[in-house]
Amino acid sequence: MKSKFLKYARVLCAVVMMLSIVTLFCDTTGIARHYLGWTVDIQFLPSISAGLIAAFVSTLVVTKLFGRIYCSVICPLGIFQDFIARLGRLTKKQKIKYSYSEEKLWMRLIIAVLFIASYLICAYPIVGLLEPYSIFGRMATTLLAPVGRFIAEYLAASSEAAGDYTFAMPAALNYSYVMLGIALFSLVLIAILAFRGGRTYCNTICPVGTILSIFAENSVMKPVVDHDKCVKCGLCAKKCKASCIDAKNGIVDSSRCVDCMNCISVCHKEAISFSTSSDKDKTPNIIKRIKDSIKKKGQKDVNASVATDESKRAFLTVGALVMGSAMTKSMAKTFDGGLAEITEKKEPQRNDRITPPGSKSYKHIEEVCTSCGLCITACPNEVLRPSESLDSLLTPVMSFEKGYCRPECKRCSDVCPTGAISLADLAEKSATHVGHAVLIADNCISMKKGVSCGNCARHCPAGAITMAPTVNGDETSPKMPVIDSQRCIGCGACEHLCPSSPYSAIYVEGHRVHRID
Amino acid sequence: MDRRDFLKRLSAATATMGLAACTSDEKTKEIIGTESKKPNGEMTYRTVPTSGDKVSLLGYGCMRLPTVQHGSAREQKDIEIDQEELNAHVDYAIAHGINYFDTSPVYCQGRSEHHMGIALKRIPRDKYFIATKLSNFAQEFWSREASIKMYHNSFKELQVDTIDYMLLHSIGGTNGEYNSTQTFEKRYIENGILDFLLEERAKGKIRNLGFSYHGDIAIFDRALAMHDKCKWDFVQIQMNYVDWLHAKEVNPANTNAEYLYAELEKRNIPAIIMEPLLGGRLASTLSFIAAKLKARRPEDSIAKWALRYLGSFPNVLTVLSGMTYMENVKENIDTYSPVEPCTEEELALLEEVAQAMLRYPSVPCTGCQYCMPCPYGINIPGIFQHYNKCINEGNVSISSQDENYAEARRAFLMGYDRAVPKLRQADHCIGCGMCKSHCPQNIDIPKEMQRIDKYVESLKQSMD
Repeated sequence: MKSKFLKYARVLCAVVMMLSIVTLFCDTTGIARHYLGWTVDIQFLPSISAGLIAAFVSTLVVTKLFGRIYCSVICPLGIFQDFIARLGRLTKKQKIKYSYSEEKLWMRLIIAVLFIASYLICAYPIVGLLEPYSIFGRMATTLLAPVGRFIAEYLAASSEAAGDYTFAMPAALNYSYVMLGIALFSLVLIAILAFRGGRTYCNTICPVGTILSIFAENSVMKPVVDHDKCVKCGLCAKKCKASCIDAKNGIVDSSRCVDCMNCISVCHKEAISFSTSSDKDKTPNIIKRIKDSIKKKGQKDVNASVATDESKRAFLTVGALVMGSAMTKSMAKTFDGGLAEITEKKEPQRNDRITPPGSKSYKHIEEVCTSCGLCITACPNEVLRPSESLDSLLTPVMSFEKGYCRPECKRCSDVCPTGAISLADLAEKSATHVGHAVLIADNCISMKKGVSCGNCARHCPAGAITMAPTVNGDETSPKMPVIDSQRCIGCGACEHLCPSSPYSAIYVEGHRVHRID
Repeated sequence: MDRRDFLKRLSAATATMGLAACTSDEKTKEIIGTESKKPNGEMTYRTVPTSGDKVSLLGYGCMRLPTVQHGSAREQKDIEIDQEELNAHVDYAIAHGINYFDTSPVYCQGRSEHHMGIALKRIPRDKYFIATKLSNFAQEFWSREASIKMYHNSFKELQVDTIDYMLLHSIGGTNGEYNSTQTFEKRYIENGILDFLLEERAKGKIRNLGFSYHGDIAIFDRALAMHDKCKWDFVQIQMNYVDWLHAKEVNPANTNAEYLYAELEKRNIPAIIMEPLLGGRLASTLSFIAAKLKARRPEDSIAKWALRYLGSFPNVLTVLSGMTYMENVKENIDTYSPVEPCTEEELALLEEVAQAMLRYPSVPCTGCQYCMPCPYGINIPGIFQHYNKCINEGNVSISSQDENYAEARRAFLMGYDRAVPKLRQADHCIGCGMCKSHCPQNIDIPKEMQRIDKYVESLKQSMD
């Protein structure tokens, strides 16, 4: 009898994990975070960034004990590849057969070194581009989250039709075509690799996989071939997505094996089992492999196909084309009823970008954020969006065309798995100055047209704006907003609620380092 | 049991079941019978003393015509009247005795007259009375030429040679820098338009002349003082069981309908009633208030009470109801075919209900849309309507200690986003006050907007 139990257990865990993470990215209510947030917290890089030592150490210990089980049941990108590989096996008339391949040791090393070096020298966009959870996060943000919104909108519409208040209309997603471009690039690349060769990305590119393989290479337990039973039929190698079973010699390379258990379930002779390995079956450690490799002098050209930044730039301008129409038509009040057209607001040219409260400083968010996009899918006020400038590529930034950073909300901080955005409580948020408001007097209808307004002052949660006469001592002269930059927290209420369109008369400039008082 | 035995029992069982089915069928029929809105008798008619017109007690108001967008008119930037549905309404109304149709050049973003013209063109001219107004609100229409042009345009849009009922539209209001007296002077007296209309009546182009009134009571008195000269054939006033004695409590600028009605009765001028349901607020109300009425007459809707109330006054000529949906048309016709006047005891009960309703701070907006469009894109009536609806449903809590606070908060906020898109909500009101003078109910719109905005803000900040 073939032992399929382990494989089924792995598939079950993977499916549950995948569904949880997808739900988290599609959720528009903030509820999923309470139950499923841990699924992203335990991801490799986020757990390091967030300082979740227990999660990080557990991952290493489990890897040391059982091999790269993390790659099969925790990593969403790994599970995604299994799914694509499965499609590859279903759709092709002749099912794709995998075969053993030599380890591309140098490529793995170079990428892993690049990854670690980038992390150390603070080249964070590179870290984010290579790290599997973030790659998946960007795919989920740009491709799955819209589906989630669609479903949520459908539910809201039906609950609205039924006069029921279970489902609220979700906030719109701030869509970034730059992020989409990058996500599609990685999606296509990884999907092709997975479709044709299974876990090629995990075996050759993934820096997290390479780091884990150092712990996995002589793990306590691994798939072990019983040479007495094995008839060297090679079936296991054909089923091995990781291409790591050398059927001829009956050896499983545990530095690349992701513990999918397919080989165990497929073997007719029950010749492979998940058990403790003898010395003979052990994969040589990385130092030895490097030495061997140098000895062989089989030095190959490494054309590390690291993403070329230029190709993505093409997507940059696409999104910027949609523009609001001209000024508000001041319709003559001849007939009754109807709604005036609203001129859409445009983002002002900010000298310094605004990062969300809890991100502490540009430096902190750049260092810690892996740009997975989860906070952007979670923002209920349509404020957060991925940055499209190169120095902060895809990290969250704020703007206030469709809403402002509400005082009662800290969902971005709740969902952030890395601690890049982290607020203890709402009091901390309301004491955090992420920027300060700046007046553009020419746009102010109160100053220029003498209209009684003061909407910015009325809505400032920090009480930082007062309306004062433009002429000293003359209370009847047009009023102007006077901003107390020390009190301003940069929430954007004034910018969002300013009646001037498309450019507000008052806007927020970000702070490089958030002031807390 | 053998096979034969089994079959015997089976057939017996089937027969019993069939019988049972028959009896229950009869019961269902009974229920269907009472629920269907077929009028029981003939429509009640009232007579105009001057012209002798026999007018149906229910008048079809053309301010809330059915639209293609239906109820989901979340973004009614450009409404489109559902002509097919309107025709069906008119056909049903005519077939069931309604003969009074009340429109205006400004209703439905200026489209009401046009569509009513199309709908009524299909009906023999002697089957209906058409009422329209000289709605020269905007200052650009204050000149004699512009007003007369508007008057002539009504004939064209309505496709008629005579207008049965012509009204000076909503006297008593203010406009911009002008107070109510100045506004009345400028709209109708200084430009000679009132004299012009009197001439037109003498010529027979207008068969009945009257005015509709909101606001400053001095103007109402003044218009009635002119009765000897103008010989008003009718006057249109706001009346319902709340406004009868409590108009000031709903809105300090208003006057009790008791006074208005008495003044008209004294002069034997028939009263045409608008806002019989107080902008829909007498159609649905807090459930514990509704229960008082339901206990008295379990099968009657709350709206029916309001209409029966008005039908109890003999000097009421017709009651105008804007009936957006066919079911409203049917129900209201049913109420007045024929009218069953309220007893003394029922009138006392309605007074009690009126007093109960006034304890809840709703905004006296009737949804007439005169304030719209707001230049800053705010959906003023939409916001008030939602607020009032929540008050009626008990979803406006004063304190977070209230029992159903969380639920009410959710219903209020979610319903708010549904009823009004975010960019058209109260927080975008800058308080410019342009809307204020247009409101026939004299609501301090900017103040109410800020009050509601503050309430919304307090609800949002108490989340989680």
